[in-house]
Amino acid sequence: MNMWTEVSKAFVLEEIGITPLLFLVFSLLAFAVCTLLARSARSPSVRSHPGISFFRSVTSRAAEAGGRVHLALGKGSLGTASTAETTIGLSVLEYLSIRAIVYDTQLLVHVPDATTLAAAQGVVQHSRERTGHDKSRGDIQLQFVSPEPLAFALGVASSLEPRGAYLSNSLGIFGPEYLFIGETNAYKAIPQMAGSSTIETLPLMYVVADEALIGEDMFSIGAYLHRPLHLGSLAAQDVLRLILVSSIAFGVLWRSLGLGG
Amino acid sequence: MDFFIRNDVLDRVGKILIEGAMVIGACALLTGLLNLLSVHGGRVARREKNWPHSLVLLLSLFVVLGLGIVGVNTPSSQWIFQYIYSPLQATIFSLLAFLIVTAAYRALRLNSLEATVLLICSVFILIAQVPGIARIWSYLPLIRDWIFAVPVTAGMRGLIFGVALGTVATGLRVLFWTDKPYLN
Repeated sequence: MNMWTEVSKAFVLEEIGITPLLFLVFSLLAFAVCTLLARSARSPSVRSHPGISFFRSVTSRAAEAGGRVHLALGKGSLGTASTAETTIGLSVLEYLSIRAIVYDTQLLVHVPDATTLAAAQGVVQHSRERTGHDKSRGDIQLQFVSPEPLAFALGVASSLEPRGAYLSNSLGIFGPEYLFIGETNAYKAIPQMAGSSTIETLPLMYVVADEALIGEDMFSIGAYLHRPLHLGSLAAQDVLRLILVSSIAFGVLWRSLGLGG
Repeated sequence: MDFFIRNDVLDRVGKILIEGAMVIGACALLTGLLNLLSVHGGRVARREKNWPHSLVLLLSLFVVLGLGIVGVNTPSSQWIFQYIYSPLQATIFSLLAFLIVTAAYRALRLNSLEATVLLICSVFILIAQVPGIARIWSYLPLIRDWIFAVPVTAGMRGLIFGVALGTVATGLRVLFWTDKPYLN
């Protein structure tokens, strides 16, 4: 008993409870096993996703036509609570920048944060090294707009308005100010894909964008596009979801049958 | 580690890292300021296209910076935020109402099943929100509350679960370096 008290004190379990730690351990196990499976030949298969299929087909057409592709990374930065969303945006940037360099097309990227800008520059540089091309190939413009959400959305909209694009993508954390970007695209008849983890903005994206990545769809885009290792974490997500849903169903039954006291 | 484990050494290391990040952030801010001055100062000096915008930006920068140096909470610096910045922001944000109307119009003429469900729910909720509607049909507020409490909450919780799991999976990928597109 004393040992448990010491352990719970050392691990701050008294304050946060044991559930988050257990969940983290389960997540780690599921992630490790599924990633190892994804590394081997037993890689999980994924269903077709209309939003991501749309993204792939329009980016392919843009490469053929030499059209400009646009990407706006939503508010958020690395090293904060929004790191996951920012990383997903950077993963898409990697995919788009490699295509822009290989097919010598234009890519316009708007970022809302200084750390994201530095990371985005790293992604582009890495893409150039991977493809073996210097700056003479692929016109990639990274523009830092503003960390203020409203100013960011207006900056992106005013930058897109005169230039236009073959495809516009908005990925990350967006509030209702997304409408400034979405409506500019709609007004200019620019095909657009949008994805957010912000629940309140999803209905707006659903009605404005041609295709919307709803909630967790956004986190799966890397697995669909160019990163087979993401399939491992995608499978881990499914395992964790199964555990969560089973726990909820079990809890409901437990309480409904009056077993919980 | 610092979050989960209570340990003096880890606490100290965590504090040093946070302080280091703050120092780097401050230096980056200064670099950004110098870059801003160089870019927009150059535009004004060369009378490039839209140079008056750059001039306004530089003047605003100097005024706000000057007042901020004098004191962040002085009445003059508060005045700028209260009577210039906030009203401007509110004005721009109010434009969203018109954008929502055009977005809704576009969505509701899509002729799909989802658009039909969206239209029926929107009209129903709109009517059910009208004050005093219970006098016409007393069940209407009850149905509205049920829609909010059951299908809307269920859908939102499902989405929140999905986002949380996606965040955990992405976080683990970053932590274990299986995903590091920005590290070169």
